Amino acid sequence: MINFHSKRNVACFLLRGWLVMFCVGCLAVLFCDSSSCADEKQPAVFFQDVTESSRLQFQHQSPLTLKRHLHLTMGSGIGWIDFDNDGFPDLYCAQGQAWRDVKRKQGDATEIRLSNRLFQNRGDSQFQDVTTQAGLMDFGYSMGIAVGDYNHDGFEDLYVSQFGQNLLYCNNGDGTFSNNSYSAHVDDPGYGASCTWADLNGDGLLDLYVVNYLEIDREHYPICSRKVDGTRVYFVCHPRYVRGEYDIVYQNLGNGLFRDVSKKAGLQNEPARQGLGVFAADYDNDGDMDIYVANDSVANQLWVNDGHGVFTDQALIAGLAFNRTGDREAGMGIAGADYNDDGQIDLFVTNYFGETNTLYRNEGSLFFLDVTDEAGLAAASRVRLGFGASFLDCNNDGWEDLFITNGHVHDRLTQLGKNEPFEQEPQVFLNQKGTRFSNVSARAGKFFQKKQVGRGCAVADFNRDGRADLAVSHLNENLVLLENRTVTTAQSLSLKLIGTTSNRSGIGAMVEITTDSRKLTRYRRGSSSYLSADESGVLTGLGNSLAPVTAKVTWPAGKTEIWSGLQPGGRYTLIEGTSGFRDPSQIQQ
Amino acid sequence: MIMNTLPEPDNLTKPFSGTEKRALFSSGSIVAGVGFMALLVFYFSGHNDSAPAPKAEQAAMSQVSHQNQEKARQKELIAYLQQHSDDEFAHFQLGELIRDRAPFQALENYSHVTPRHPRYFEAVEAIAAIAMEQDLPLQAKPALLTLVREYPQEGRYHKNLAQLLFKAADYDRALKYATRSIELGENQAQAYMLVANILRQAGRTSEMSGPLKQALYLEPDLYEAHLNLAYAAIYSGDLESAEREARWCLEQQPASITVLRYLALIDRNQGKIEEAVSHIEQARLIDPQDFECLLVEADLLIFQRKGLQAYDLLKPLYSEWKTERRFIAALARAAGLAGKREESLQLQQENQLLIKEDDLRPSSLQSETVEEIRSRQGR
Repeated sequence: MINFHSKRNVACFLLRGWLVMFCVGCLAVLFCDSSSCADEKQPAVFFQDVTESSRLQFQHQSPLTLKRHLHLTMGSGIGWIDFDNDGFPDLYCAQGQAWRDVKRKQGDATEIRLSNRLFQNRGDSQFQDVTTQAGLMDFGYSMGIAVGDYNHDGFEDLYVSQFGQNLLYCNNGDGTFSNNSYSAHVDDPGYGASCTWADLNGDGLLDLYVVNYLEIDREHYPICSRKVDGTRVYFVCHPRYVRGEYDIVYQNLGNGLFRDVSKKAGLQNEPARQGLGVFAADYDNDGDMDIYVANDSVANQLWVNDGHGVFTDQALIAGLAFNRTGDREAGMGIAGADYNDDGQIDLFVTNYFGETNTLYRNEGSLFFLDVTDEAGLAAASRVRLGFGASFLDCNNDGWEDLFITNGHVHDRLTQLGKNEPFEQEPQVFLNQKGTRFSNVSARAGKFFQKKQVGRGCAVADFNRDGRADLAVSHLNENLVLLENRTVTTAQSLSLKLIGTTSNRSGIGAMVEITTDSRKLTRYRRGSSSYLSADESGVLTGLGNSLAPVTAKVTWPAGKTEIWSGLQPGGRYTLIEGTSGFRDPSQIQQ
Repeated sequence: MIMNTLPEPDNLTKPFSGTEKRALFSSGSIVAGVGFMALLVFYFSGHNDSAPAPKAEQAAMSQVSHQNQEKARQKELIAYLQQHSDDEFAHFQLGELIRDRAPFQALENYSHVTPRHPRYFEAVEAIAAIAMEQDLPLQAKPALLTLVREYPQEGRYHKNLAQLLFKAADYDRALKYATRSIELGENQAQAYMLVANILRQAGRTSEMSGPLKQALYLEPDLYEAHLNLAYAAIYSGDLESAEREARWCLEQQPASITVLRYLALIDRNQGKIEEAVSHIEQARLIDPQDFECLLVEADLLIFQRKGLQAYDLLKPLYSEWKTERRFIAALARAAGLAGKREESLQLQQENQLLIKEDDLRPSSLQSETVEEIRSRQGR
């Protein structure tokens, strides 16, 4: 009996022990579900590929040739443009062109899939192709896109650089565009890359800055190759083998015409370089627009404006020509934003495989420091070839995060004995309160696991949910629309700026937003990234601030205005010269 | 070593290690070995019969006797060759006799042996060995290429050719032969280290991890493999592995400034600036003259906006390092940050002048030819 009892007691004890452990386990699971494991389940940033559901069907066409003609690997850009002024950004996609199909393509105007395309945002998260109705059919090899209202009629116009004659599409305001390239004298026939609108001479009109890449004579196209095991392998020429081409400045004369003032502007005072990216801003805070150009494998240029549209390159003294080790890099795209909340625009340049992308921290007084390593962006980019790059506040915490799209230019590196992938994953980095960036790509959505040949990217809140979305272009692949589905309670503020004395698009305006706890500096940029243009206006997260905020706008013409009582989550239109007599509800969209 | 581009590596491996070369090629060592054995036999056999002479004396006597014999034979061959200069075998024999004492003359003699002669490939092998020992790549390369063609399954020739091409900065071909040597059974850790070093110099750092891990599989405690793996991991952003490898190395060599510098770089990439400063200060205490550590320290100061401190650290060394672009760039940044804008500009211009047209990053594809294709595709 004693023994029996003893055994039974032991059994009971064990059973109770198991029960206790089971209960503790269940509680742990429940607790984990509700609190501590929430972080694991909830990614910091999440983007959903909604290309298919949004009916955005755009396949880039740039078939590579046997001899790997260089321009066919550079891809095309994208631009957000609210062409119909319905408050929803529409999407313009630049198209490539097969090298041997020039004549056939031009002869077959019904092949819309081979044309640049305009997709109208219907406001219900779906898009409709309106290219033909809009009169935007074109079959050249299109590259960069700039969006701006150059004729002050209230409708955004389009400039498209090409490998060939560039295009100016004037928005007629009735859903159609007129091709004014020739009549407006902006049809430069060079190898155009990124381009941007900006008022370069302070006359309140948008001028054009067009970056040109290489001087390629189609009749004598440079072809590069190497013999590997007795077989000749062709590959895309390094830009060192091809001369650079001078960039162009077109001055807006205000009568629908432009004048090429590149030489007078000083752009030809130094040898032509192989430019790809551009970002216009007032870097020296003297009230005029300067231009930063990313050049491929030669020193980058910072064209500092004397206020009258005459420029001198001050990239060397500004620390923007090279990286921190004094090396020139293969500049591709540029993103600009105040990433560390010090009120100054910092710059981020994408570069080649084996180099890092480079983050230049603005120290003020026209001096920048390469802080890529310390910001946590160096190692993550050495084994990538970056093209498009955009600053955007993914989680509305008031800190500018960073998106980068990657893809190589060489698709035959395996044959050449190298192990550098042609297709590469894009990346998204979360800004850690201005100190550094953390790579959150792994959990940011399926798109970030897929290897593609990325090129351009552009930011817009296409579905008006207050979160910044992204469109990404790829070489010879489908365009991708990414809807920002980051779970956040933080609100954003959307501002549309309309200049009156300044350029109507407000490009170059600086906006200082004061919340109850922070001061955010945002910038109405022209084109950025690689060949691309974000939605016009300013979209910024406000962090935890729920109280009304104040926006101080410094217009490109120099005037400063303050709008108060702007509600978090609101969308406002701020018109230059009207801050004094509009209450916030009147300017709310 | 600083910043974006990881710098030229430290010479961690010695692909042309003298020991290896002698072991592979030197018949002199074989002769010496045989001589030594003969001496031993002589010593033990004669030990009981004669009065015990001092060992060193006996050895010296034997050596002198051997040398005298060789000299006589050498004289005889030289005399013979004066009469019969086209006797390839005599040239070969003379080469064999004198290769240790007069390698350049031996090279000359071996070169008289033509492919028709049955000892031709032995002569070529001797040429390759001497040329590599004497650092004569122009002679070594054709000899090794001949051997690789004749003995395509002989891994050591591939390996030696890889080492030679590596030294000549012909990285693509070096990699081809090094990889082949491994396939042919040269499966030692050092062969994988050679591949890793070629990849590193070729700017293909991201590919180094594979061969380094193979080297460590074969020799788990191979210090240079651990150190290189730390470097490769820093490069490709695997900071966890980098730290693990660097800390292992630090345990083995606590005073290694390279390891301390790697740890500083890891810290910096993780945003731990204070820890990075601490590691680099330790390294600088061990060797205040180390250039790479100096650059990292200056860079950390610049990042912390201590421009004047960085300037004061670098400026005194200007005359010593004025042709080193990384130094000039760092000093330019420090000067700019310290408000010395004109000097900063001047330094940036100096840097620009130091950039050579061919100074492309190693990973850039170099074209053998640039054709200009005529086309009718104009628009």
